[in-house]
Amino acid sequence: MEKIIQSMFLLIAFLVFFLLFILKVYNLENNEKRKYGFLTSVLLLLFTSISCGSLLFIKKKDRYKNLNIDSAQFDKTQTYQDLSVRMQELNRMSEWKNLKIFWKKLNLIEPSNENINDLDYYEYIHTDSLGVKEAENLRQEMAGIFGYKNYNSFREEILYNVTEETKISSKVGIKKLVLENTILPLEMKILAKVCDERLNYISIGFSSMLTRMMPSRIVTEKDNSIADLEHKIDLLIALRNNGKVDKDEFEVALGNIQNEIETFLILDAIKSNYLPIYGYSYGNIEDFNESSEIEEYVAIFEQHYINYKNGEEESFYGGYDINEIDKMYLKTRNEIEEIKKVLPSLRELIADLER
Amino acid sequence: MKNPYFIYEITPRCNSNCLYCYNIWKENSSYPHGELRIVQIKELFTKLFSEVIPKRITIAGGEPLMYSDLFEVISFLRSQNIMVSIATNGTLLSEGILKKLIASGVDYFEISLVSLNSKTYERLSRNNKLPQAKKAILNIKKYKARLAVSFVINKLNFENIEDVIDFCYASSVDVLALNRFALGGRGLKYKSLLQISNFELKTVLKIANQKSKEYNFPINITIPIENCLINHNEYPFLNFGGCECGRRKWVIDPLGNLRICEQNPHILGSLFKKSFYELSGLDKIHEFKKDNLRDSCNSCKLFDFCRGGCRYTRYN
Repeated sequence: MEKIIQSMFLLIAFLVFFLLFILKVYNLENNEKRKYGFLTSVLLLLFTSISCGSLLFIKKKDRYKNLNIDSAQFDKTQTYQDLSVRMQELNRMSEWKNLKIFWKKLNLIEPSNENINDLDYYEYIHTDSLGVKEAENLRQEMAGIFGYKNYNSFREEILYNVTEETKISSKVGIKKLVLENTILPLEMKILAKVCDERLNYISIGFSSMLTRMMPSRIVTEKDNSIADLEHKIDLLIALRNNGKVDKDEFEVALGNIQNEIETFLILDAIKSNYLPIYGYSYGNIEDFNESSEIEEYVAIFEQHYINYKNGEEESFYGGYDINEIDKMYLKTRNEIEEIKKVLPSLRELIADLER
Repeated sequence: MKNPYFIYEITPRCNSNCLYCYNIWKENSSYPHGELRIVQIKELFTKLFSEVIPKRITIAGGEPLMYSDLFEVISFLRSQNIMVSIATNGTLLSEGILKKLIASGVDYFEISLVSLNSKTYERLSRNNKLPQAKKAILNIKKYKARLAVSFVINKLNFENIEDVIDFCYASSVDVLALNRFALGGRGLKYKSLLQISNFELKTVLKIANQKSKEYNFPINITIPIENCLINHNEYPFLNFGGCECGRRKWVIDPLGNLRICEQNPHILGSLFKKSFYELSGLDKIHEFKKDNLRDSCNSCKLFDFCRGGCRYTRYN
């Protein structure tokens, strides 16, 4: 519909220009026709082009106006209707459809053979479900879907550049949708990161660092959240196939599984940026008693920083100096806030991937 | 007494007719019938909280959603800083009511799910509301409240345990409570139909243990089983506990009477007329617990952990 409207604007602008040109030329004297006619027509042509271009630019910027978005800010109270308009638009795009196909492909791969639970939690393993070559092919496919030349460039940008703006230059894949302002850069990075983590878990299992000491629960729960995601999806598919859950129940349960993704994102933000948390042991998680699991882990992270500021438990700070820890804390908190802001729209995106 | 917790049977009314129901009043016409008005409930708990402040109260029944002033009760309890849970069959828990309950401050739900097989569910619950129960489970997790699903293990459903665990885990349920069928209430009438053998119980525990390990999914054995009956070490991934009834856990019936546990019909006394400390210190509590121990419990090293299993099951 928008394309039709844009085309009509162009056509009207052209007709106006043409009419003005004819009137102008008609009113000129012969010698003036030669002198001014050409100049006038060029100016009019330029004016028309600039006007149409500005119109298109304004329409693009306004795409998110109803969604109340301003530079990656999403209002949690925005209506379903606004998000559904975006989803309708996305579902017309081949780039988004390709991502849906890939996501469902991951759903259908069972992550492990039955012996995996007997293995050491922190061992790198290659499971029977996905061979090395097959996993590599899937990684390259994933990179292409997101608009990267290969997996290495995907990994560099997505995994090492999380909240900074990526130079979106590619006009293919999901990156193209970012350029067209249909998907935000942070949303793209989150989807890419989750796909990458899912594929990692399916192909090599848990990948947390093997150390002599038990890492903090934030690290283990981060890994568990993706493991749980995969197991739950597989189980749900089996229950649906056996007739134990119907279509509606399947969709609601699948939506609930998104909680694992949200848990993963927050825990990953903490684990990746706030390095002292790796060796931190804390009391029972029940002691924190927050309204949700995510809030409990955020409370643990905040408590660690408070302990540090109070000069307690210095041995858990891994030798980092004061300035480093302050910077890490701020970076982590900012990333968590950015993720929380984008969660409402992200939920719609992930729900749509499952449809 | 440190951190007691209470099950408040807010109403004897229920929209279901389950074969295994332990509610005392279901088959016992001599048990006092009735329920309190909201003013009386506030008076009851104001008096109770002057002596002891529990961290949490679980509102049960009957079916608690049938009590008309439920939201006012919840608001009152929350105003006293008490955490509130609700134990329900889930069939009346529409999405609208659920949202309202969560907004009122209920943060924990328990829903019973006796089978995923509709025929078995219908036979045991004597209603065809399995879809509603499943929907309630899924919606609770959709709104991110905490949820325990309880499965009453009996002869008619023990073979369905695998499907129920799979469904609970896949639905992001927080914990599964496995209750072996405890004789009480209407269940006494259907003892021969429902009571499982030791072999059948072990079969269920074995499957539950394997699933708990595989999914890293917590499964609690909530009607305690003594260690000499079932060796807990054979099921290391299940969470066994001891009997806390009459120690930390108490039941308040619909008319404000105190009891030791949900299955035990003996009324200790009215909380309106006597103090909680007086009632909870009665000799008959200690006598009941002592009289229903095995002889071997006296010298058992595991007694402090197991506490002799469910006394009421052995009593019956």
